Amino acid sequence: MAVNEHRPTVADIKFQVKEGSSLSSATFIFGDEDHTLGNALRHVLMQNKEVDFCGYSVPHPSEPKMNLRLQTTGRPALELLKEGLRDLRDLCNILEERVEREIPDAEDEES
Amino acid sequence: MLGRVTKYRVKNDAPSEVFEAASEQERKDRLLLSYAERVEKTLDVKAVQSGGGHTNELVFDLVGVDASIANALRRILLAEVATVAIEHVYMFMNSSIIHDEILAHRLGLIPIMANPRMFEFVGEEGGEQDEPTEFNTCVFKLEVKNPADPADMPDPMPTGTSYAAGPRRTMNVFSGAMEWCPHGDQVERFEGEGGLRPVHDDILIAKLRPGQEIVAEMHCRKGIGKDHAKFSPVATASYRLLPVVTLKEEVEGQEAEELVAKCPLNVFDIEDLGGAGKRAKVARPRDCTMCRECIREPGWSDKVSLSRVADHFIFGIESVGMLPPKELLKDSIQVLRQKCDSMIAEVEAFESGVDFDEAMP
Ligand code: SF4
Repeated sequence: MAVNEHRPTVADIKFQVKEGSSLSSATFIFGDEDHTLGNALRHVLMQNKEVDFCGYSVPHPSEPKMNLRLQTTGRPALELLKEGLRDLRDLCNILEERVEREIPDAEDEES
Repeated sequence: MLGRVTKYRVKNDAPSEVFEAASEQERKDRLLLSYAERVEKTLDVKAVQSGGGHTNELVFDLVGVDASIANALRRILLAEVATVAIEHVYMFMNSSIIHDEILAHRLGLIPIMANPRMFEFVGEEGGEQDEPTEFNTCVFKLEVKNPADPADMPDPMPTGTSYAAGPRRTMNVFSGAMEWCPHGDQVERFEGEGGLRPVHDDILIAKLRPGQEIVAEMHCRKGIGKDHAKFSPVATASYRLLPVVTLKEEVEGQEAEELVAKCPLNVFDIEDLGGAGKRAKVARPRDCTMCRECIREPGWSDKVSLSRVADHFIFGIESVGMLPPKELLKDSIQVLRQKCDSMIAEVEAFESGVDFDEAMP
């Protein structure tokens, strides 16, 4: 018998622009994402000077969806979204490098 | 929309603002930097001597990032770093008092010492779809019997079993009784890690009365904690902000003694001033739990101030044991980057597929 019969629902669309969005202010729908990416991405986007407003929400906890609202001061929101994702990726790279450098390996600790 | 100037600013999460800079010039310079360059300047990771020096535990300082990043890492550690756990149990015989489904559930929760990086997800692309193979599944078997006749009991008792105390010959079955059945080239592949086994040998699985037996085969697969908590690689992952305890005025003599005695975590020490008596000093602010005991009595809040550093996280990771905590941390960063990468790909696919202007209703 399977230990867990329940499987998490999987979103059918990974990325979508919500109806009613305009070029500079849009709502993006991310499939299979939640607060993990939502809040981090929101924070990173808010650091961008060209972002006027950014917020995210998870409309319903049992739907694998995350909405991100992005309003810019003029440039296309999609472009800034990509920049935000790249910034977050850069942050990961920096973080990884620091972790590798500063935190001793488990073996070192034992000796 | 354009030209609107209202901006709401909240410290620490303000858009494009630098609050802590040595000078106005530095503040302006920093504003010109890209996000990555700014992070490069503020981010700091420091290992902290962990509590008992236990290798499954790691405490480190994460400085200069927002809570949302620390929280993303915490959430990923709990729910999205993959491990291997028992997923299917084939029960051939179970005459014990524990029902099949309860037993299967108990087995599922046993942490398996298997490097998840050496496994594929079942149904992963490139691998054979939902079929179990030697690359996505490992098999354990559990075959234990408490003979009705004590003379039939082998001596010594099979590994992972023992008699419970008392005269009734009740047999304890521990996780150590699980036996790995390698398939394909798994023996060679896992040679370096000493084969596959449960992380702990002393987890009680069931108890057998004389004459009862369990025969089961267990198939393990790779999964993530979001699917089922048994896949979570950490016992816990948490963070707290660095406490700042300061004395607003000198606390001396009798009061100093009182203050030291008040704090349950021993944050304060007495400084001996030689002839001039005693003075309290903050010796171990990191230990403070913000219990507020030291400022509870009237008047003390004028003497002691409690606060926190908003971007200094004391991050703790307790691994279950299959991977050392540092590896888990690196994995979690990788998962976050993977999320960004796949989202960038999705956005680009969207852009090339649809003209953005046209997609706008
Ligand atoms: S808040 Fe509690 S732990 Fe912190 S210094 Fe005061 S008494 Fe000690």
